[in-house]
Amino acid sequence: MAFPMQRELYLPTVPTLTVSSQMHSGLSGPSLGSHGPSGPMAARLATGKQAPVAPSRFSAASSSSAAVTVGSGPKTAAFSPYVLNGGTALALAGKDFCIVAGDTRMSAGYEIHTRNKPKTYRINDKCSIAMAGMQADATNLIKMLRFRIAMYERKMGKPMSTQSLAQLVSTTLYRRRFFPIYAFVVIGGLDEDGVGSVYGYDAVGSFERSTCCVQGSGTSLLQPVLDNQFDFKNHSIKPDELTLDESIDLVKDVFVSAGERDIYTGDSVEMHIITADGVRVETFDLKRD
Amino acid sequence: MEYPELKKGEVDLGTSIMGVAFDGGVVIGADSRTTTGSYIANRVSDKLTQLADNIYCCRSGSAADTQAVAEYVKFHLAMHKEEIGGEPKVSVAARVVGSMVYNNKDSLMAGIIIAGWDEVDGGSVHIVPLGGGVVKMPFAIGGSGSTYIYGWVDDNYKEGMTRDECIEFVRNGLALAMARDGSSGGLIRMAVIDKDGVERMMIPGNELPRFFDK
Amino acid sequence: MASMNDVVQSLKPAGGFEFDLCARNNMLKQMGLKAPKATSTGTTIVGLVYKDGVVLGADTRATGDTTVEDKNCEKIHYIAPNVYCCGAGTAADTENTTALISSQLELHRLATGRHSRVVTALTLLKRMLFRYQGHVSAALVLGGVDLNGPHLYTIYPHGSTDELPYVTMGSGSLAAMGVFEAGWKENMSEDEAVDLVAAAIRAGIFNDLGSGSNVDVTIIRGVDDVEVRRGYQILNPRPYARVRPNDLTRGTTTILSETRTPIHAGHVEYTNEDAVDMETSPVESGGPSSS
Repeated sequence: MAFPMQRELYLPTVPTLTVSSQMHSGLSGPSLGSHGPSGPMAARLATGKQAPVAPSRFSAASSSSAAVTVGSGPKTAAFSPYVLNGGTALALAGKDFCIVAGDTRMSAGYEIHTRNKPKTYRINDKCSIAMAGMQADATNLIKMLRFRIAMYERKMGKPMSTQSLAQLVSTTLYRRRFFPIYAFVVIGGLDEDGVGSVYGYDAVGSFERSTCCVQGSGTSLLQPVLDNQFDFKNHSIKPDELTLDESIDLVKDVFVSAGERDIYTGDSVEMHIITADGVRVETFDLKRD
Repeated sequence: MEYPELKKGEVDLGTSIMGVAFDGGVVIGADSRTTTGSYIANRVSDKLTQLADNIYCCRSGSAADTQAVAEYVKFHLAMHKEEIGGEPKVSVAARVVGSMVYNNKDSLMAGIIIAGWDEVDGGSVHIVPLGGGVVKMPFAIGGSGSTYIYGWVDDNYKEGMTRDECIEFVRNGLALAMARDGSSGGLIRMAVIDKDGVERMMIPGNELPRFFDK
Repeated sequence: MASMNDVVQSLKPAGGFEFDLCARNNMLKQMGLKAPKATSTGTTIVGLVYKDGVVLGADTRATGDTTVEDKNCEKIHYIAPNVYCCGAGTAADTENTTALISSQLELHRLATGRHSRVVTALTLLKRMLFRYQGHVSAALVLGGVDLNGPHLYTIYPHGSTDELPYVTMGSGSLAAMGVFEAGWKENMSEDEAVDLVAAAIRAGIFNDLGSGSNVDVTIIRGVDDVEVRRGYQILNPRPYARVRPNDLTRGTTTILSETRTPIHAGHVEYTNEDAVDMETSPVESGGPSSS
């Protein structure tokens, strides 16, 4: 085996991003040395034969904790900080309501760690966050966000608006551009006009407002269904917008469908129903197999 | 050359095996643990495989490879027996095993002890290690657990041990190896082969001899 | 010059696997192409010897990566009238391997005029799997009853085998073995055996993400005394269906262009001269099996 070059030892490879069209010239490959990560974690990361690739929104990054090469020749035990805990989270925005929901199964590989770990987090009377991906990172992210929201509320003397929270989440994620937080966030709430709003993110803070967004292992199954059945995309004749009750009905149905085909989605769903009256939490059971 | 390694997901006989010759026969023994990674796939396996009426082998390495070798050798010896019109010699069985392992050394992960009794040599023990060499020895140990007891066997082996002393030697040696080696364990299976035939023995896991931890 | 006959001969399948594209595929792999992934049955399969026979059990989920490909597949395969085999691993490998050995045994029975023995099936299977050095990924639980009584074996993809009174295989094997190690007794009755097998499969279905849906059970008591209980326990019905489905009105899908091709019936003439009236009234002797 060739001895790794000094440059390889200290530079992580450039992580891949879902949104790459707006790449800033200052952050391109060669100049990474000065802008790169520092601190003990970054050093440990860089020591591995393969630096971790940032998870993209649509693909799973490295899932096993320690990859040991099987076969002849020298063996490398790479440090892999990420683990996928599976599960699906989504948010739907109506005219005067918003639904944020996630299943409560937490797993890794073929194992279920727990059947009751909600992915939904209530922020205030007007919005909730749901997260899929890596539970440890999600827990840590919500802790950071809660702290910064509390600071904001003390300083401003009012609850944080959904719009402001959306920007806060983005900057919090982008701060870790070179050692990303492996959590896929979706925010659902009411905006300052009382209209439902949804924000979806990738792991490094790129975000977009929409009316329906799915994150996690069931994304490829549910997003197209919701595009069609909730947003009526590609419908020549648009039916009436779904009411709150119809939307709840739809959310239950799509989660049950994901539970039928995605092995990581199951056990139960926790749903935050946000209206002008506040946040109502509802749960319902999924299959446990 | 590079020795073959266990393929991903392959069943391993991470093993402790032993064979000792005494005047008039041999004693062989093995633990009973078969593993795939950290999972015990079989806790009561029989790694003592009969090759002919008077010859046994103790298998270590890949379960698939050693079972296949044993099947081939069993066939070979049966044909050989018909040709010579009598029981095959243990040394012949060992050479057949040896040539199989030698000629397929790139793909076989097998370390095998061949032991038995024949009229010419009496009780004898042969070992075929990974590359396919054949060595006749007064006693032999093998498998991953054997590394823990090399010193002990060198210290405790005495020339001219009786049948019962050999049984004691094998039982204690295997119990020591099984206690230290994570991929050996379960119970002890033993066999005594002499001119009268084969006697099989089994020591359950809760009746194994204990040492400092008595 | 190659005659037409040569060409035809060269196109005939020679039997066995075809390796023609291996060199090309290795090249593509080196260029970074990812090979398509086969459906694997991340599975729970088990077997248990009881007082007078063998009980085999399996879940019914087939997965491709993390997606459920089949919610009710059959994993207990027929080998012979007195031998059945559960398969875990690549679905195609387990299906074809068991089918191939089943056919070899059928021919063997016709040639010898004797019932198949379980060891014969075992030997054929292990030789085939050893020959392919683990590339045929079939992890099997083989069970049956022959003149020597009940037999139960596990066969690993590399060709190693074990004979045991109770066995489990597949990704749910640890969950299932936990149930067996806790509940197994010698000389169980058939009912006890079936209950324990179902409990072991349920442990896999609910605790292993690679296993799911229903419990299949096959009881082998002897030659031609086999009970195949497909869907022995249906455990996972759909818990909710949409109350207000969205009915789409005609015209929802935009038609971008339209081409109509008329079907030419040609000159086929339909004559009704010899037609006999279909029997519509009940026949006196009754059932449809009488004919």
